[in-house]
Amino acid sequence: MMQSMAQAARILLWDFRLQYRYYFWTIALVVGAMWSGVLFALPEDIISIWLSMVIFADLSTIGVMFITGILYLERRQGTIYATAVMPASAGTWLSTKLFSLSLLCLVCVIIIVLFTSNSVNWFRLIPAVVLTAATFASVGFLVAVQFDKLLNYFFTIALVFIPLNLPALDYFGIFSNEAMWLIPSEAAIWALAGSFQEMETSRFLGYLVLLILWLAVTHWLGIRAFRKFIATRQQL
Amino acid sequence: MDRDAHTWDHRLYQHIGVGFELPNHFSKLTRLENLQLFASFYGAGAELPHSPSELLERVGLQDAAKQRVGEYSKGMKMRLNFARALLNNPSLLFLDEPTAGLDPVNAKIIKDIIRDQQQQGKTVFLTTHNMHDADELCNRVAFIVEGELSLIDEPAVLKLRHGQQSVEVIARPGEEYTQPDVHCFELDQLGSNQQFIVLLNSNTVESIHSQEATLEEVFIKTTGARLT
Repeated sequence: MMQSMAQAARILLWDFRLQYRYYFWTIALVVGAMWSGVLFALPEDIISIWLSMVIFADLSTIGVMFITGILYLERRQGTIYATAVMPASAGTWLSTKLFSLSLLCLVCVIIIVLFTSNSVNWFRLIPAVVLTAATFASVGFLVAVQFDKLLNYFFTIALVFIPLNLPALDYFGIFSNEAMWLIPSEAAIWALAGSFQEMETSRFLGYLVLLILWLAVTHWLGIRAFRKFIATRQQL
Repeated sequence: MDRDAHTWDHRLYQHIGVGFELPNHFSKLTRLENLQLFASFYGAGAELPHSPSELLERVGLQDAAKQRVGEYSKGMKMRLNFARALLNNPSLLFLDEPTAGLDPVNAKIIKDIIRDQQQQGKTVFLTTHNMHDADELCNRVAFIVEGELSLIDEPAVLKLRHGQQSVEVIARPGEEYTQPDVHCFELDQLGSNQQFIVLLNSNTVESIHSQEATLEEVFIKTTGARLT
């Protein structure tokens, strides 16, 4: 167990280094700065409504696009196939990618929030951001790993994003339905909103538990997909 | 290892080294960083039998320390592939076209290391279309056609079995640049073949070659008709 943890920690450090070397950090910081600039120009009452949605949009986009970027980069360079014959499990590989991307997203969100909001509960925001980013990166991996061609991937991910964005209607009070709890982004949006608005602790924790469940499910599916599409190179 | 393959999980790769047919490295990292990254999958640097720097020196990549791998030639990348396969001092090595894209000097370095691995008792699976490499390096050669093992044996045995039991003698009785004569003699009773002895004593012989098949010929004979 200790050996596996030490191995994961070493792989994680290299993930950070790769993300820095391939300009992922630069892109995330620029995107964060751009959002800050846009929000900074808006009146405070609008920011309080839109901030959690902006963070949600940022996390879902960055989470999905960055894991896709990593996957396609590693496929193009062939390094992912070299990784598949290393003594690390698919779970370790995927977990370190999700965790490192979540921290990258967290830094980006901290930049946005620092410049735009005075009323934030950091103890809520940090787990909400990390879990949301990891869940979306996991969903992104599940979709991206199945396609060799980017064009096919973009078409599919666009279709996936339609239901994933539906909970925004619930957040703005336009449309609500119990079935929305079956969409991972419902819990994500409300967990982020609970970091800026008054919300009962039990309710907030419920959203986190839901996010953890979604992450566990998508992570488990991701491991199976890694074995199928990477380790044994099966086609869809 | 002595265990059923089905009982192993990803830890099996602690004992395996894989050299891919095409270079697969992180192009924005240096060669040392690439090896250090993959070494992180096995354990801390101190746990590995060979340090990444040591391996780089063995394959002749000790220079150009700060150059990123993306700027390397294919030959340099292939040598880095090979070095990575040896990181964990594996008992089982799978090498896919290890000398592809290498100049003769570097190909020899790689082949010497493969021989060294053999002498250490390691098992090396070499996949190659280069029959000369297969002949030089392999104790046993197998031909696979359409996913099926069609022939397997020692290279010397294959060459003898598929060749002719004869020698070819090239002699040039006339002036330099004239067309040489080519003679063929059966190996059986060659020492008492008067025609052969006369030719040997004529001081016109330029070369004598036994007529065992090459591995290329064995390959074509065995599989060629079925390849499209």
